[in-house]
Amino acid sequence: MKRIYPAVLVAAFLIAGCATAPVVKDSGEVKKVEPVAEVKKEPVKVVTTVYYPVKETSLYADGSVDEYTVYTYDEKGEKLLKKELFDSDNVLQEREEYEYTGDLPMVKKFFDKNGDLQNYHTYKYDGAGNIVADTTYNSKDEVQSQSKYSWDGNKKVKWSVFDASGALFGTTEYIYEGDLNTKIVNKNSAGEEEEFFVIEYNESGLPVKNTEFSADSTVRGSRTFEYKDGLLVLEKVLRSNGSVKRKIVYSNDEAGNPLEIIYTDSADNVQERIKKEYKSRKVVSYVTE
Amino acid sequence: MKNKKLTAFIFMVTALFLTSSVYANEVSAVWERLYNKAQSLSQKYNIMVNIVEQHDRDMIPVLEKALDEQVSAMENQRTITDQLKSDSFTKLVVKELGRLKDREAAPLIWDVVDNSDDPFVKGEAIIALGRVGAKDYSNKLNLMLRNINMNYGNIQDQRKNEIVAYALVMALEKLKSPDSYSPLFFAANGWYSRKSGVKEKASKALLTIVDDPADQLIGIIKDSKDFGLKLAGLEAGVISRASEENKARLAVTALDQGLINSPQSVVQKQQLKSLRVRALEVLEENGAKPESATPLMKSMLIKYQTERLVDEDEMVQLFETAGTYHSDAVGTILSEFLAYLTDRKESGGTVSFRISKSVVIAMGNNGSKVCFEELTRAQYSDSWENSIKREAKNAVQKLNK
Repeated sequence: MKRIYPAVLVAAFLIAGCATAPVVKDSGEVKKVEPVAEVKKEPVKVVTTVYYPVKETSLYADGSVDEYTVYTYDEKGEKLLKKELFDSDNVLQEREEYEYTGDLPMVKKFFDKNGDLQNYHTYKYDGAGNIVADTTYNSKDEVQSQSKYSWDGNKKVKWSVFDASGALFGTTEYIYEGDLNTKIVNKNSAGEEEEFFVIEYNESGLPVKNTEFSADSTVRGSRTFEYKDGLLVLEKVLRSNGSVKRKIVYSNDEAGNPLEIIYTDSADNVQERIKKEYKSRKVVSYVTE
Repeated sequence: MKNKKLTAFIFMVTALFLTSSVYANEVSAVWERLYNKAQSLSQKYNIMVNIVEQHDRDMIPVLEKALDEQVSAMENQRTITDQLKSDSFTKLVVKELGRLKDREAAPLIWDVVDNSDDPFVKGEAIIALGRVGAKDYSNKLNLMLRNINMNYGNIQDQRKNEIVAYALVMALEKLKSPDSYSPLFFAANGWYSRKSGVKEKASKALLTIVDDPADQLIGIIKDSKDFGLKLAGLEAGVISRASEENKARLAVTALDQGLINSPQSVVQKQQLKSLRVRALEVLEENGAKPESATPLMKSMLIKYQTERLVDEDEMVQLFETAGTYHSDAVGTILSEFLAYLTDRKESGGTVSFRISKSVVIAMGNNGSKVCFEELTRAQYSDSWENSIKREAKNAVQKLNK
């Protein structure tokens, strides 16, 4: 039995199949390949476990509940259908509902505690299933804002935000070194740089530091990430002078899912505890070696 | 198709964990910049909806800035439409600061409480103060709730006051200050309509706000002029997490109040009787048996003998309670009372059969040897009914065990 993380899933799906082709020598001579008996390899059955959150509880420092969110999926646990936020008295406060076309969420609606629609998003995707447009509407179906995304394969390279009239507010460009997103640049509507972020990675390809710079390259602040056994366990938000502004501590289960996330201030006073609960489902696939 | 399915799943997972993702940084920076550029309130509101959706602590500076602007603009004269928009915007920001538990925003949030005339805006800000843990403001909130509890305002403001009171109860429940117990108690027993939910919510808050509210409740039971509230104080103590000893202390205080106060009406007479009976029930059920209850029991017996101020139901309850006390002091007052009954019986006076039987059973349960003489006298007295004699004999047997 294997467990699977989204990143692994991405990697697995990025592996393309091989095609056969005649061997061409440097001289241009084509060597005739003698027919040989093809050895067919049997596909190997791989069972993976996919975890998905079903409940997230926000608690105060003393352990009393502030609010909690319940996630509802379809029968197979593949599509998130609904998120409901309840207060500590189990009274519904907000609801999000997702509508799908095929496997892709196309609409996300926000309702208040009375069940009245507050606003909604519509999503558009490219042929590979990457999101290319996210439009926010109010309850009167009037556009409030729109985000558009550009992709290079599975790498997001640009995010543009437009206002209700369709005027460009600003853009964000994602710059990569290999597969790693190492720099993010925010630009205003005139194309001028406003701020940028430099992301540093460890040898395993996990981000260890994200530093925010102003357009004149002054450090505004940074965020560091610490891992244990490949899992994020500590996140620090640092001021521009390097002092800690707040910390986020993660406790993970054996499968690598964060079970508890603790937010503290600079003096380590707990501001909030988030507890997460998960369900899992088995995904069977066949891999030909 | 399979690729699409996978992308959809990744999209969902990414969205779910967006708040803790490394990539939230550039997102918060973009929305913050966009907010700063927005001119009209409508533009700001549209952007703020997106900011709130992120539910990200990186957004706190822009949320605080937005609220600061709102507070500054509150005094400006605006049209009703603008006011409604502004109120919606303020509620949106205040609620999110509360959800993010941003303690540093407390002074700004208090400014909204202080300056807003809209009960929903004021209420949202009050709730947010509770969620951010603004303990420094609990006294101010206590005072607000105390004033609303008194219901001195115009009757047409009652609905508004109920909205604010409900928010105050929610906030004080979260702030857990012992000083909030009293205003919450009076809210739980106040004028509020059932529909408002204030009383129900406050009653629930009383159970969690302090572990042992005995000291607060003793003050309420002693000081309240309303006898009904004295009983409510006792009941609140009974269902609280107070220790057995403190629950017994509350019952003794309530019993004392039930005896030292004089009713001015039939209603008050019934209220004081209920207070005494309930206090005795609590002392009967409670494992702690404070000696301070003994003189009060004696006082009840004297009131019965002299003025019949205590009725038969109360007397029966008194003996059931006294029977759970195993002290000589209680045995003595029971013996004295049985002596009074036997004397009265032997002199041809009428006595209550129910009371007589109850005191004899209580003496047996009390078990003190000081009861022996009067029980034996009753057992062999020609004046008593046979059933009383039998009970006296049983009681004596209990004393001899």
